[in-house]
Amino acid sequence: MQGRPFRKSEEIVRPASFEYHRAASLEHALDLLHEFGEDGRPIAGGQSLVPMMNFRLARPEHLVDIGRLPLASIERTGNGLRIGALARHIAYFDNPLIARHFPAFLEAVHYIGHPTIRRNGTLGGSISHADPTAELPAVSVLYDGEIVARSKADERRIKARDFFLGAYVTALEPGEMMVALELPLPAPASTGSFVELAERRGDFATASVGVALDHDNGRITRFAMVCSGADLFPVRAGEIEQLMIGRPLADPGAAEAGKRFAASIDPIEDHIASADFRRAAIAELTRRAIEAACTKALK
Amino acid sequence: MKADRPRQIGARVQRFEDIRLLSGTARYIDDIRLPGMLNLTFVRAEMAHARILGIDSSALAELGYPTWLFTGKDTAGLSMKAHQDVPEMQYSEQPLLAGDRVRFVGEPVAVVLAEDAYKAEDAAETVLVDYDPLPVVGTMAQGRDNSLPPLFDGWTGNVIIERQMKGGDLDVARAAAAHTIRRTYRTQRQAGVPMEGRGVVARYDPADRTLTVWSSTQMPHLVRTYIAEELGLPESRIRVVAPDVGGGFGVKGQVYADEVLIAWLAMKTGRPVKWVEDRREHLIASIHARDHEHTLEAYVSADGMLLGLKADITVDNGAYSTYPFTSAGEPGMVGKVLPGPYRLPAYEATYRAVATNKCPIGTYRGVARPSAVFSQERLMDDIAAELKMDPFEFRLRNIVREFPYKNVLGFTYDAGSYAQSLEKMRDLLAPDIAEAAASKASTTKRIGVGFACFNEQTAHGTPDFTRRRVPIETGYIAARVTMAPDGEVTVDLGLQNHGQGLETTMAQVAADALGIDPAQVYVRHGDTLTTPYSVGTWGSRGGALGGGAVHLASMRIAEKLRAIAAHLLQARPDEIELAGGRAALRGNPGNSIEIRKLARMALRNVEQLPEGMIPGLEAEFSLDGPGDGTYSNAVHAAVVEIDIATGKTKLRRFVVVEDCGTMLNPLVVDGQVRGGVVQGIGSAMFEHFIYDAECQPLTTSFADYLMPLAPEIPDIEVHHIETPTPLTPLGAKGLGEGGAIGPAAAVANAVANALGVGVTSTPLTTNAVWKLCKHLREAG
Amino acid sequence: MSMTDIALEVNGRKKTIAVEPRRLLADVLRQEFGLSGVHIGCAHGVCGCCTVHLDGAPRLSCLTFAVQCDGASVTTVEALGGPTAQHPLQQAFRSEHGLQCGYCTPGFLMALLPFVDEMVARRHRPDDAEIREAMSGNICRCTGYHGIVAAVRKAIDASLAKGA
Repeated sequence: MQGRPFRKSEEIVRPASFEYHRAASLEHALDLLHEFGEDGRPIAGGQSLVPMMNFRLARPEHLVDIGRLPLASIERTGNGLRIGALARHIAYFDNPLIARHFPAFLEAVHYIGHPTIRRNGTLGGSISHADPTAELPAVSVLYDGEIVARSKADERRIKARDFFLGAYVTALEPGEMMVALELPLPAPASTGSFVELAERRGDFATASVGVALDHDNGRITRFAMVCSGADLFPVRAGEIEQLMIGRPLADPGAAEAGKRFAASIDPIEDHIASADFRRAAIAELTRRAIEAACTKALK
Repeated sequence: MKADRPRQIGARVQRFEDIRLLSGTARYIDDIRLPGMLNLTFVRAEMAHARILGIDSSALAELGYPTWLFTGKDTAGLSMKAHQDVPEMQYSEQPLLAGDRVRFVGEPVAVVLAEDAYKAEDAAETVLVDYDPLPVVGTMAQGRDNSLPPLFDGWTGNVIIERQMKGGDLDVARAAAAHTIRRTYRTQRQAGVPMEGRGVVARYDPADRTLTVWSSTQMPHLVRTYIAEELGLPESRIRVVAPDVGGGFGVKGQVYADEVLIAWLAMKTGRPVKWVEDRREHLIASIHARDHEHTLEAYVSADGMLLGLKADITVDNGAYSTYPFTSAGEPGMVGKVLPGPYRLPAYEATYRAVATNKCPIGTYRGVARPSAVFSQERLMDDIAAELKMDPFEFRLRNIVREFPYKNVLGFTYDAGSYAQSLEKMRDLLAPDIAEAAASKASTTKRIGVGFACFNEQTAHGTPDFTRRRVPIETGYIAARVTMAPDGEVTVDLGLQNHGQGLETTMAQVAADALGIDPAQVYVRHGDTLTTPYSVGTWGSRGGALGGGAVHLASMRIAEKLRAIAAHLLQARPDEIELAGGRAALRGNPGNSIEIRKLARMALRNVEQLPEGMIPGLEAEFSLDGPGDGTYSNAVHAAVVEIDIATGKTKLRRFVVVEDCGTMLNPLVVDGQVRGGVVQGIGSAMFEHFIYDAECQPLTTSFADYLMPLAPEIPDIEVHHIETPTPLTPLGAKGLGEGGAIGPAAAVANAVANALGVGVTSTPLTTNAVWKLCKHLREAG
Repeated sequence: MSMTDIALEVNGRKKTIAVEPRRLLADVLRQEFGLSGVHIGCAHGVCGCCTVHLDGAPRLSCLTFAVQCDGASVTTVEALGGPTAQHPLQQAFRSEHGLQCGYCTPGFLMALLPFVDEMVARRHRPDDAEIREAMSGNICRCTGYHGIVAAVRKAIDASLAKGA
């Protein structure tokens, strides 16, 4: 299995022709995307789509520019947080809701690319691009997020766990676009952590693990864990999550959990990392993520 | 003579060229736009080894805009001929465009020209090539397997060249040895990757039969000569211009088929033609580098003296021989330099290059020496470990201390600071060595200290090339210095400046000789129309030979200025000193005349010149290097911190002690060293150009070919020792490549030290170090 | 091929041009506005050479279509300190030898300028790791980053000292 783009040996680094349409409103954008179907793509920050277009690995005939639509807000909903698809990665750094309720999310954002990418990349772009080891897809899965997808006809909510189908493949249908990510607010006594291994600062991860847990009386009462690098999309740690419930924060058995989880996966292999190495790294990252979260919970 | 004491040489003069580079007003190849210009896109081979059955360009006619297509049939007979005329080398040529066969992915098969670059790309996409695949020769082992078909008709197997070099008596060494240490070391394939890729623009003017070629090259004169010879044009009517060049590192120190091809296309189409390489083309089809395997066998006495070394060297050369250093250059260089800075009584090396279906290997900063020093210095550590000796102590016992030293192959080393550099480094590393030792108790984290000691033949002259019968043939650098009637100076330099600071350092050299300010010296380069014939900027010769040529040419002008001043001040020429813009009588500074007035006399008011003196203030000097070169030396050291569970390796410290003789400008010297070191860290830890089993390239973007970024790199500490050489006019030795030579060995030795294991290959990626930590994880 | 009219304010000058939608902002700035200080190093968003300011913030002009920028203002290195590079950050690059071949330099300057300004505004003297993180989206192949780190530090220190 290969997990990285840009393999074709065509010698081109400029895009093929396309028609450009600036959406005046969300409805306008959806009308256009409906009209173009598989030949249309929305564009905002362009940080993921344009490299693919420059290499002509993506060649949409119509680009619908949604960059100026008012979809960047981060706001509290009834019992959750709604992040607009056009929220820029840097917007999370000074958002008190994210810091308070979604610490693993905030830690994950620190691993994204570099300052210019964080300034221009959008949530919708990252999630829709679905790089196998990108950070935001991982945290959307970790926090039981729902991707709000709109099309001309309707709106549907897709669980993040069901959204990522493969490397660069999502559940979005032609004519549909992501407008927001909604994350349910965790319990008051909750915390989390996110750890990542990458070859260089800012690279897509070799592997990463995020943990979010609720606790009461020194014990874990709810446990969620996501891993990138275990498959072509971020996966939850099903069995391990059950296993962790009831364990003491002071001695959560993190190393054993890591080993168990690693034994259950069939990691991707590429020229950066062998499957064996990824498995071992995931075991260790799991241990570190659990220990970091438990340490925070104890504070 | 106190009067000639340098004032500018050795000063940290801020670079003049920085102004245009910082302001965005520099002009690189892509900034050249000419009326009527056609943009070129290559159709490149998608298969590593195949016969071309046909090329279907019928879709071009339907595009609705004009295009021009050329294939190998059109350019039949035109090729790159890079051969070293020795009987052990099999002859090959690289056609400008593939003929009936392609030999690596990315090889140019056809070109499409259009009036716009985007359109040329659209058009190239419609050209279809029908291939009949051939078996791929993909590894060194396959390259040496004579049962596989050769890449070239008429060849026997795919070993391009295999030769030996030897000195001393290895049998004696073997018989006397108490220890025999045999190891195989492997260094990976890399790409050089200047931040500006290559590019060529050509224009032909039929009226006066002049051809102008702009190329992002380090060697404009050699490009001119090759084009003239291959296309049968008078060289006098060809002008090659290297504009501002965005880094070269040796990658632009070859003559490429595309330079000849684009000149030919400009003549053929009657239109200016432009090609600017894109990054993927650069990664797959400009030259690659390294890709060595060395098996070394060392014979060592009981008391830790090196008695002999046997080496077997293989380089995976890729498909073609590159001009002008050829596919014999890389393995031959390893054979030549492996004796290194150590006293070695007996030596024998067998070296070979094998042809594979990959991008050709060429010269990249350090040229074979990063790989050679990796093997040499890993071996020194491995021997020290086997003998249970301290690695500094083992090296100090064997290091060359008396100069000049004639080594086992007959090369003479001029004076250096080998032992002193080692001792200084040992002092600098003392706290890290203690910390590394203490970390051995940890089950999670290890610290390691490693270092590499090497000498480097630089600025070698013509005999070194004629010995090898290599097409470069010579290594001289020329400079012409002209003083204008206002006393301002132009230096026309045979070197080409692409980051080395030559517009500043050469001005410093001229200014010192002429007693003026460096700001009064305008250094021009990179244009064959204005500069004297030279081999270009490569092989660590800019400061030593270019600086020497500028100095000697300037001194001739200075001599004339002194003669004129002496005549006017009624003194002897040797009593005149040139300084601060004035020619003054020594000991009597009040008795002086402005240099600009002397210049005006020499060129305008010539009636005031001494009787019989010929007007004019211009001098040119060509300076060849010493036959064996002049040897720089350095010790590089790395301190690493390794996370045993993941293999994640942090470079905590990198220290250089270096000796490049006289420093022309310490600011520039430090910059050259540090930049080279970080490229070497790339070799050590990150960069790997990877092909799969079918020789399809896997690392064709910057998301896959990983170069060091700022967060991975510590400050690079640089310490200098200056041992000026008597072999060049200013005492300067070569400098440009040394930084890149030591880091792979130093980092590998640090990892070996941290983990207590042998390290035999690079790059030391996280995955690779994780594997090396296995025993520690099992013990923990 | 359809062309689209766009209005751009580039280095303070407004101009309306017709562009093909697929033209990258980098190509348009270079060809239509003659700004050769915009360098293209990889054209796939990894090296940072092409960084310009779009409405005041760093942006990779190789990952931006010019049509997306209709009505926006663009600043390139040419506007930073003029033809003699008078901006303090440019001068610090020079004195600290933060450049060699110069090809990556405009991108580094444009990426780092907001960082320098922000540190000065916050009166914060960043450590090495912070400075290196700020330039982690730019590749320099010549300097080994050492001189660039020193230049950024010098520019910040000089501004902080002046303001103190």
